[in-house]
Amino acid sequence: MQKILKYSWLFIFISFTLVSCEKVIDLDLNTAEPRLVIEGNITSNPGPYLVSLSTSGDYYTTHGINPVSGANIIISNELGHADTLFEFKPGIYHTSTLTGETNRTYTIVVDYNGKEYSGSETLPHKVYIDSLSYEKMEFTGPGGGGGEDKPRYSIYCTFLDPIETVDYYRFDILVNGIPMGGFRSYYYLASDQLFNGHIVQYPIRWVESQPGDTVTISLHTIGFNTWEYFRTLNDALSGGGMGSTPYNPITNLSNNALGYFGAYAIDSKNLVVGQ
Amino acid sequence: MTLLAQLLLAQDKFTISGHVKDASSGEGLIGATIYIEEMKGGGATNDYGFYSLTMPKGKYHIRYSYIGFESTVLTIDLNKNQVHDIEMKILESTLGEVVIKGQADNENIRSAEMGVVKMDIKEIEKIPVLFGEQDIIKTLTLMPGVSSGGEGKGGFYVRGGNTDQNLILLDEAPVYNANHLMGFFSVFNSDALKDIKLYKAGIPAQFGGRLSSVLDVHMKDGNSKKYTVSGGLGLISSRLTIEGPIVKDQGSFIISGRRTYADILLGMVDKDFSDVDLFFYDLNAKANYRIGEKDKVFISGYFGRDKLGTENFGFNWGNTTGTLRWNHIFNNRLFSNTSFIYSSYDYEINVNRSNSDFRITSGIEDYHFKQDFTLFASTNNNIKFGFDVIYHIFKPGELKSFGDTELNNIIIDKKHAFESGLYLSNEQKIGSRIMLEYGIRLSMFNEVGPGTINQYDVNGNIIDEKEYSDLELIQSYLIPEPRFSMSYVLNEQSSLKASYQRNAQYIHLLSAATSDNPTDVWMPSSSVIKPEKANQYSVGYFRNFMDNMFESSIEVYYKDMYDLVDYQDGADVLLNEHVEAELVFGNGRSYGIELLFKKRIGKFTGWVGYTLSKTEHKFDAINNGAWFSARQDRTDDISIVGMYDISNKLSVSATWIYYTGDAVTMPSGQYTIDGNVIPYYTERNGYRMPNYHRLDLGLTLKGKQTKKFQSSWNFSIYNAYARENAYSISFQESETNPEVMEAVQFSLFSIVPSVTWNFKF
Repeated sequence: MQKILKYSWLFIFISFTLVSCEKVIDLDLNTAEPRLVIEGNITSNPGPYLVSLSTSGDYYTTHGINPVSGANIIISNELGHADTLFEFKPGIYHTSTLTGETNRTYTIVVDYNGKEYSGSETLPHKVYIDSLSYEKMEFTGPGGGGGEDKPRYSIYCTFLDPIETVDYYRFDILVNGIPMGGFRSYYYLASDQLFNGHIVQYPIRWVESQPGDTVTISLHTIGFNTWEYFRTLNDALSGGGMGSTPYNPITNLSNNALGYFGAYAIDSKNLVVGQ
Repeated sequence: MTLLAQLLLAQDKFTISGHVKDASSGEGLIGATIYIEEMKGGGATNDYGFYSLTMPKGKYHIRYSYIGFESTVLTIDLNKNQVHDIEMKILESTLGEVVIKGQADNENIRSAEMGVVKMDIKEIEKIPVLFGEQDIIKTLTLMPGVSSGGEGKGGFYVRGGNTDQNLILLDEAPVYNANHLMGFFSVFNSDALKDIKLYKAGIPAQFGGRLSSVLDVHMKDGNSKKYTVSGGLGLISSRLTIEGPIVKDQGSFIISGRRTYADILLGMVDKDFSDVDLFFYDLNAKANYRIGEKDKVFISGYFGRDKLGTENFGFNWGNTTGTLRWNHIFNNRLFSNTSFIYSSYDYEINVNRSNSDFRITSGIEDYHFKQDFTLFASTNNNIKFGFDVIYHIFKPGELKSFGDTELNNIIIDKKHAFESGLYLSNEQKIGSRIMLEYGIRLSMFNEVGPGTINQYDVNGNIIDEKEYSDLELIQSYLIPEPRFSMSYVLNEQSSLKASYQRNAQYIHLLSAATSDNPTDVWMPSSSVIKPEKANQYSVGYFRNFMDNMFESSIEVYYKDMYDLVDYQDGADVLLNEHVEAELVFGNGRSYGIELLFKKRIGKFTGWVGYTLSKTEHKFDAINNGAWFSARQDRTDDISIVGMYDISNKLSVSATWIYYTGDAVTMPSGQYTIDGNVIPYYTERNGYRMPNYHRLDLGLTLKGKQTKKFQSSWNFSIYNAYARENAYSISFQESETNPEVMEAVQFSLFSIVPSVTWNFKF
């Protein structure tokens, strides 16, 4: 009996895992009026800062940006310092005189085709990385890669979270100077709800690199609007296939523009990973 | 009131009362009909198998009938009050037997009840199901007006209502999460169940607290005649039930358990899985004892839990319910039941990694007192009245860290509330053609301290904060809920029915996902969240054919819903103290037509059900304030169920279902941010999943039957023609051209055969 049960279970398990299937289907999607997409950031690093303008396209069209030229863009801070941006490539505009300062609020105003789009964000104070360390990940899960030829690391980023403020973080990872992509195509984000005021050893898992590689971790302290955007952008990137009803990320831009206007302070450190 | 006094004081009337039971087990039969030929009318037994009829002095022929049992006719000379306990014998069908006339009655035509689904446990046993796990909820979704949440999604929808708008009662105790294993199975182990009734409309006034439906499930009392052991071995679970008399015909008990063993088997097959937890269990227990002629006490409980986990991660959830009941017969016309009920649902997530060691817990807990009276005033009036009070404790969530972890604890304040109801209803017969059931429920909800209560502006910023002490009133709501249904009998075979009901719902399940999840949180109505309200209007035509061998019905309904609750887009739901600021409120409407054609008796039984309906929601903050299809909006929903007894030993069954794909949101455009392609959404639920259809087959083979031992094999094939039904559709970069996106459909099950062996001795 036990033997029968054992093999029966195997059978069921196989029907669960293997017979469940994925296939590409033809699915007609509606088309929508193109909408203006604005992506711009002010950081604590010296300028110039870039703003890119494009429009949305049909879902099944070839990827690529439909640049929007000829817009008038002004970024100003609350002290009245205004900088009119210069379009140096189609759809890419840069600042000339502005320097990002922490604890200041910046406002972008985009004038295009007779419509005005605007948004504001505060550039938060900087939080410094104390140290980085690494640990090789043992787990080789399904789809997780791992193993000797594709090792994965947990990088621990240690920093002191300021106790008096509510802080939001984004971790950017470069491996030998190249942004990490591939397995994880979403953003590493954290709020200090769980660790306010503590020295944190924050784990950044699934970093794909080879022994001897230089891994750069940038700790971005991001404004609340920037946090809201990236937190919900992560939902959009995961496709909303199973969880919640999919939606457009929460933007701080007015007049139905897509994208965001963000601000963040950056501190970076390097680490050479070993065996 | 004068009418009532007259009825009670009438001197030349006498009462016949008693209990109707199954002769083999002593189980009380719920809803057995009692028909008095001379009166051309009668009544039915209540939830405890008790009946009472008051009639003028005289000679009567009384027929007791219950589907699947031999009818019994009693001849009495009613010249004083009489007690008759009736034991009915199960109808043993033999091959080639001619169907006995009169065993099916036309109660469905005569009664005012409409929008009610009754399920026979024996019928459920024959219907093929996934992995051979009998499931009352999956079977209920084969009836018109009831739709399933979908494969692996759990829950069920009744006439366009949300899954949290069903009041699921197990021996009167609410079951807050009726799903096991992400909805593949329900918490109801049918071995322990006696009676199942789902009210889609015409909800009696003694029930309240949910908008859409009441699923009233009664556990078996246990065999009061002899000890029996029954059970089954299946591919993924086994079941065992022990029942027997405490004192013969005085009291009995039942204990029934079920456990899945996927993890044990996995561990045996593959060592890597040996420390993986992946199982659920259910334990039902009940005992009853009769104290004298007038009193009976029942105690029942349910304990169930799902456990998933590995070495450093654990996730478990489950329900616990308990019911203590006391039946008292004041006199042979006034029946009373007093209940103390406990119910809780909670989940727990444990993470223990080197630098993150914490536990998250959340749940809801209820203490409930309920007093119901039934006054069998006459053969024409059956009055019910009573009240109940529930004390709810809501635990929205807390996180506690352990060891040397540098994590803050997060504790979100518990919330407390009293939910109470007072009701009066009457079932009245006017002449020989009209049956009325009317009543009112006055429901009240009081959120009380302790706690800090915030008020928020439209952007979710706190504009007011106030501290409340223990039991201090925070917010109160009082809502009258009228209920009415009637039938007008056209002739012995057909009737017209109509009903109206108003329902209020004070507690709300907040779900960020489009399907039910164990981590969904119940929240009380408050100054921010208003009670949900609904009105439902329905009319129907009921017609039986061929001496009630076939029954059919057409029902049309319209329902409007107010103050529905949903999360706003991108709500931050986990351990959020200000979760109320993440909510949006709106209205809904649902209307449809339901057709049912059913063959109730004979070697071949089964039904065809069809529902054509529309369900829409309107929220100011969603879809630019325009009406949109609710997820559960299913234009067409068809079920065909057939069961055929080939011989005494062999029976086969088949079900086929078809429904319109769920309303879902899909992108209508794309754009690029930071090098990533981002989908652009324009309207809520503007697309449809592919239509769903599936055929399941079942075969039951009875083994050699002796007086002492019975066994049977149950074989089933789920999804017999291997339809690839879509579980989800996602988008990815095309493998042939990574510059273009393509749609990918994921399906869960192909053909799933299974076998179960059942026994009884």
